[in-house]
Amino acid sequence: MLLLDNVSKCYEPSAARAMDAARAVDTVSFSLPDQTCLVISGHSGSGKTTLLRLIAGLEVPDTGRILFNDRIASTPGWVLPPHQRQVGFLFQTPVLWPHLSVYQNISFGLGDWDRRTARQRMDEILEQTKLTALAGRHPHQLSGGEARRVSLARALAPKPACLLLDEPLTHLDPDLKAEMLTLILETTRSVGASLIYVTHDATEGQLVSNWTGCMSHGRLTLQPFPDPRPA
Amino acid sequence: MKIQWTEFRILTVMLLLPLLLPLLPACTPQAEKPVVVIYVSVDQVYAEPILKRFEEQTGIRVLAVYDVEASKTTGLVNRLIAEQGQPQADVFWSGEFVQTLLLQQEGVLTPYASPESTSLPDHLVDPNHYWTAFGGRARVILINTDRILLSEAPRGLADFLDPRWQPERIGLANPLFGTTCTHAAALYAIQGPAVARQFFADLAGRGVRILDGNSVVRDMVAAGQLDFGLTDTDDACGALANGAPVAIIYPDQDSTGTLVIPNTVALIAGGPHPQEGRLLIDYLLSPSVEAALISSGWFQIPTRTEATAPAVGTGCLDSLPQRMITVPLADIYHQLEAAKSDLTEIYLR
Amino acid sequence: MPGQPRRPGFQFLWVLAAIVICVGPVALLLLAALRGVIQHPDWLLLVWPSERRARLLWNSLSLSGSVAVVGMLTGLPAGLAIWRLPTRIKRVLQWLVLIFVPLPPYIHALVWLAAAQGINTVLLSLGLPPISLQGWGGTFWIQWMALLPLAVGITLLALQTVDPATIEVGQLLAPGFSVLGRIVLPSSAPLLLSGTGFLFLLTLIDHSVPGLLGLNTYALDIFAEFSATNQPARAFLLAVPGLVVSLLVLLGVQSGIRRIAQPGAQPGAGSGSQSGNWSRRSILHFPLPGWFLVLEQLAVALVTLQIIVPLATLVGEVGSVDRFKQSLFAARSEINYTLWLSLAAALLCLILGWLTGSGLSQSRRQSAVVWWLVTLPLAVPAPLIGIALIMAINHPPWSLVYASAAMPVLAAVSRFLPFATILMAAQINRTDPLLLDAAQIACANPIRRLVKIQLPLLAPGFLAAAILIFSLTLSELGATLLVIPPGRATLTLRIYNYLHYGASAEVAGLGLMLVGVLVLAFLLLVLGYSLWLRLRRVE
Repeated sequence: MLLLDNVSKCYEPSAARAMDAARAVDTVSFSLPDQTCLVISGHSGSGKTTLLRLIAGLEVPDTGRILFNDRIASTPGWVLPPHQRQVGFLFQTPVLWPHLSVYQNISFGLGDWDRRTARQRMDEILEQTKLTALAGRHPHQLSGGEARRVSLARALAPKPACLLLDEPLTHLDPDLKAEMLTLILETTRSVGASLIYVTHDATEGQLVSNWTGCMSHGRLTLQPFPDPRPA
Repeated sequence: MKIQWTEFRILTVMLLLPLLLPLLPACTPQAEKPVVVIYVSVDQVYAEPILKRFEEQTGIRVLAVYDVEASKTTGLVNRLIAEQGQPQADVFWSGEFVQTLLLQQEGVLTPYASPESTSLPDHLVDPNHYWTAFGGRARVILINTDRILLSEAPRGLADFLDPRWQPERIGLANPLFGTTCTHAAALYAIQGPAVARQFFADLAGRGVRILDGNSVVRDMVAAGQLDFGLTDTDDACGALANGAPVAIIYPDQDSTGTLVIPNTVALIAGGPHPQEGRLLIDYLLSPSVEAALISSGWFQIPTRTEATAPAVGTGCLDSLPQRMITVPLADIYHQLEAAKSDLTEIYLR
Repeated sequence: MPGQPRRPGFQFLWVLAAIVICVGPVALLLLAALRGVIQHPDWLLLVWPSERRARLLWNSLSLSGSVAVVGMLTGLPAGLAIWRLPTRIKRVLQWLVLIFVPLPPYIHALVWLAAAQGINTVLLSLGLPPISLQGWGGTFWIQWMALLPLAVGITLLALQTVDPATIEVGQLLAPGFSVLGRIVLPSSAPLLLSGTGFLFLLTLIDHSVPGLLGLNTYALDIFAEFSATNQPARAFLLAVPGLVVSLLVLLGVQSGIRRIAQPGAQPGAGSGSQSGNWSRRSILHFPLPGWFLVLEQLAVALVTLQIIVPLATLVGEVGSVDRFKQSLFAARSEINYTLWLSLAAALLCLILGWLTGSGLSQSRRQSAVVWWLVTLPLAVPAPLIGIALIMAINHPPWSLVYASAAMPVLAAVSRFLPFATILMAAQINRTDPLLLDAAQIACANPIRRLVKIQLPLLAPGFLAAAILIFSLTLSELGATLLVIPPGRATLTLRIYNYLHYGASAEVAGLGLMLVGVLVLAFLLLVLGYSLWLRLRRVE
């Protein structure tokens, strides 16, 4: 289970959007049970991406704590390294390593696994994401949709406990969007991961989960948890 | 990022500005003050005051380019040869003579018989008046008196091969360049190429230290890192003036004599200001400049005797060498190529 | 789009101009060499090294190779240590490391010789054998120390080309050391290898330090030949074996440069956001193994040593503030001229580098030959470039230019334009072209677009190129000596003149002045840039 307790994060005044020293994330608290999906929406600059980055361990909170299964993962001045948190992250763009092949990109997070198990997992995830035929290619040889599938496969290959998606379907055409969304939900379900899905598109969010939250000026307002069972 | 046509034009204008600015002085009407251009292969510290005095006395502005030691005398000489089609300099003043003779051979110089040269010894004036030599720096052995007693000091170049001296405590400047190279050519002229070559081969075989310049030899002898070394009198006198425990020995006073390397001055063919160039040469050859250069410490051996120029003294030296090498400068110059070729084979490996 | 007027290939005109500037001197020397060979066919034998020259060539190659490899191997961990610091500290430190770049290698040599003398006094008093900086070992040490700041600078530049997003993704999946080895280093490898090539070339063409320390090298042989015959054509022919090696190294260098200086990612693939260079997110400190941290600390200690030893020695040699002031006052006209010369060369190289870099970064189809030609001057010794400029310019109708103070500027541009081109092309490639397209749509005034959009976007590249060219011009000697107009002198020329005279206090004072000028220029540039950003409220 993921728990955020009064987490805040400020950026300096000279940050990207020339904000005043406002809080990008402002005293956010919530808990995410295992195998649940949460959709967070909000306007640009509301702090959604920063929240995901705090959970992933890519930012250090200014106040509050983040816990994974009752184990402290982030406090002001200290973070558990990202690769020890068992989270997967899908950025807005594919972010593939150009010098590594598709196979190498996806298997990167399986370095600690024993070879046999890792190979089996790779076969599985390539099959699930329909990338088996593309395993030997390099990123510059892929289409946009294929690159996104590779980044999804890479995020899910190590079987993370929590998957963080930051507007993963931006700039995709409707058919591809639908295909990707189905793939995301299926593969997430198959590893039993929790999901935090950030989007602008309310319709898209409804397809993912009926437990939603809204971020505005750094503050998160969550709807009541709709159902004991995950969506 | 594509640059559009408009930005291209703006940038082109911006590009021309830094180029145009320095050209502006050249476009303005010529200054009323006359000008003379001199290329100087003499230490700027010594030459600059002399040239400034010329400016004050004559009102002729002196534009000088000074050579640097690190270019191993290739800088200005090569510049003069390269500029031959369109000379920029009027006068060449060198601290030695081989490069001047090279310039004569290349056709860079033009004859000028300065009235001041009549008071100079004949062997210092080119028969065709392409160059005139004056003053002199002697090639001397500088010893560290804390390490060597004067009575036991080396007396000639042959002592550099004497087994009683440890070779790693003897030094000379790289014989491929500068006055050491000139000294090597002089040995070739006096002793013959075979004997001279053998001498340098034996020096290299013994492991005598080869250093980057005469000033380095001086510094290492003064610091006690060497027992003795071969250098010029201006460097040696510098060590004496700093109070270092050193003494100067004129080598080979019982045999061939000591080599004295004179300064030379010459008029550049086709120079832009020949009249001013002649005036500057006359000035540089004058007894007063010779006296000034001796008292400043640039050279130590006067060209004129007391009879011809009573104002001239001997600077830092208590005495002058009794015996000097009398081989014509041109003969030394003609051995230079052979000497350099042999020395390159011996020392650059 | 129908009706869109066709523009001429004007951008490539500047690429052509850059090629002429860079290749022109070499072409002239080649012509002179060919003429010489026709008149003296035996000169052709100079191209093939004799046994003796082959040994000298081996000396040079082994020295250059060792300095380059060891230099980058030490610069890399030091650069990594600085790169992983918080942004504010990093921004200051990364430039402070470079303050000794303009100090000529010859002065590094003298500084370390003086330092060794002091150390030997202590060693001898303890009954220990003294250390000697003569020969191969000493030359290696001094060249390594002299080029270490450049190695660190190249490492920092290379690390900046790595998209932070790719590092973050790696951090999510693997420990920090694995990310370093499998993501960061391979991504920055092209520029790191290019940097190693640059260090190799800089060491190969230098003869001053080996000459001082009694190491015979091929560069010294070329110089001896030049001194003996005063024939640039012969010296050029003799330089051919070294040139061939240099050109091969350049081929390797420019392939790495092209990879960072040309458009990379196609839509939908490749490495993340192209606006990553504007991200202020500091790289989260990821834990590294203890042994690697020790290595970093050792490297940083070496970098610190090569700053402290020269600084302390120079300050010690100066002796007193009054002597420092005296040497500054005596050199005031040289200081003024040197400042103007360095600024003019930096400005010219920036603009030319921008125009050329823009042309070269346009398309993948730019051939390797074009890049190779533009980087050619890096392989040619400075005096040969000076001679070539005299051959090119000292005759009508260019005599006006030859007699002017602009000649040393042209010499600096001929030698250092490749650096500006590489840095600007890399910066242009890292900048999202959509940003300019948006400006095109929003704003019709080209000057406003230039000032408000293009210049801020290219500013990091401008800053890096400006400081590098300014530093290199400050310390340039070989070509400047040959083309400086009579009546003028640079600070470096004055330093070398005093070196021979033995005025160590004056030399030390002027050496400190060189460093001071660079620090001042760096501070003015960086503070001015920060102030401008603050006024414009741009990231």
